[in-house]
Amino acid sequence: MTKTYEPDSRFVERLEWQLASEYRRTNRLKPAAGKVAVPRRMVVATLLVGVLLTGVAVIKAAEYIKDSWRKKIEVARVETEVNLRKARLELTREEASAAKTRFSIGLIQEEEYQVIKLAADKAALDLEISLLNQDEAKATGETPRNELYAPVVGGRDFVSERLKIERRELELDLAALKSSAGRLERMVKMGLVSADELDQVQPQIGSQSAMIDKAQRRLELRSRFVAGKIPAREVEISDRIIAAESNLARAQNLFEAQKKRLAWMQDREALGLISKSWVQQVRYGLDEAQAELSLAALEMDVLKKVK
Amino acid sequence: MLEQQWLTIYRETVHPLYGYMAKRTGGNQALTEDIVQESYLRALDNWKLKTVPDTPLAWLKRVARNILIDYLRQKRWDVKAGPDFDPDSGSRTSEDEFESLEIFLAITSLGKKKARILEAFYYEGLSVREIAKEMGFSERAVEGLLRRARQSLKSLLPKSTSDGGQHD
Repeated sequence: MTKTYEPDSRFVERLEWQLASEYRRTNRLKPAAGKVAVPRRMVVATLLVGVLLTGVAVIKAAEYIKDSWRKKIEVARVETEVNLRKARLELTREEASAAKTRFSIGLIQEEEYQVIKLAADKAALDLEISLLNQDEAKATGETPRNELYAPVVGGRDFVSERLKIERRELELDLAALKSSAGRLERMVKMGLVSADELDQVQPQIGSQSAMIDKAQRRLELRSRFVAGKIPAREVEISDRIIAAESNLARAQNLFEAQKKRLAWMQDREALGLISKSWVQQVRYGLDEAQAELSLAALEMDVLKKVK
Repeated sequence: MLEQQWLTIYRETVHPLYGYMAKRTGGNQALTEDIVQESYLRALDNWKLKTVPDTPLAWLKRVARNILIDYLRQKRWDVKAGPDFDPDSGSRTSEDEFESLEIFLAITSLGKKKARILEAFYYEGLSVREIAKEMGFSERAVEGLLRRARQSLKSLLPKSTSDGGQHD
């Protein structure tokens, strides 16, 4: 006789439903803190007998239908998101193609073409994320989870897959910023724009690099969690520390840039090229950057103590 | 433990747990389903009070195995009584299944080390090398233990079962 070691699919579904109901039932019956658990449960159980006798079948059927509908609604939601992003990608690709033609015949500047092309590239990555969300929702029947300590679903690590796409998106932004900085540098050399404009792009490049570094570190943290090397609580704290360090790096970057800008403005003011109010405005910006830097440093201190 | 986490664990473990148990019950569907269900209910009771173990599947397998042993001992499984048949329930333990349960119960009475080796070799299909690695023994030691475990098992079982023959 051939033996089967695989469960019957109806059994798997029925048991899942039963366990979900049991989970919710036990959570509803949790005793209040400070009270004796057993008598309370007995009282509740006695009360429940009446309910069980009169309408348990109806309630369970309603819960089953509700769960089933919730799953269908979630899958429908992500499918709609995929369709919208597909339409958006098509549109941005058409725009990029038209922009390329306009740029090749000199109707628009390279910068304008690059901005449109970047939008199309990012739309393609957004669609990839939506497709992942769709796969996850179909597998779990729930809203996709993006916490670093979310479980792997059916052997597939959706969180890491999404993080990798997000990192690619950040890298695209960085490439665009660097390209923009290169163009500005050439224009500064030709005397077409002031060096101040170039100085404003540099901190943005620094911030973007910090964000890529943050994405990479989060990916590594996730992979350690999936490998079972660290527990969920440690993942949560480490993730916050990564975010705080990234904030700190960004705030430091901004602070240095504002300091440099203020010195440059003060030189111009001394030569009578700009008014005092311009300098004052930059000084306020520097104060704001200083406050953000202090806050980020404080947050880091707190998190390190918690860890 | 969140509901989502609970259901994810269930979905990831139900197939391997069922396979693990079905091999020990000789494919007895009703018994396997009952034990798998009971294991999850115990997990729910246990994990809501404590934290979820690092390897939920290992925890579930251990509990399921103990439930099966308890069940067989509680029934005072009598190897002479033959296959269990309940005309009212409409379900029947076939002779094959009866022999499988008989062998499993005998294996569990051999002592922890021998039982583990026989289960790993026969139910889980691990090689001698894999068992040696898991238990931290040399391959030669595992082969020796396996041989002795087989002999002990043979002495515990009725001749017909140990020879692969039929019950009277």
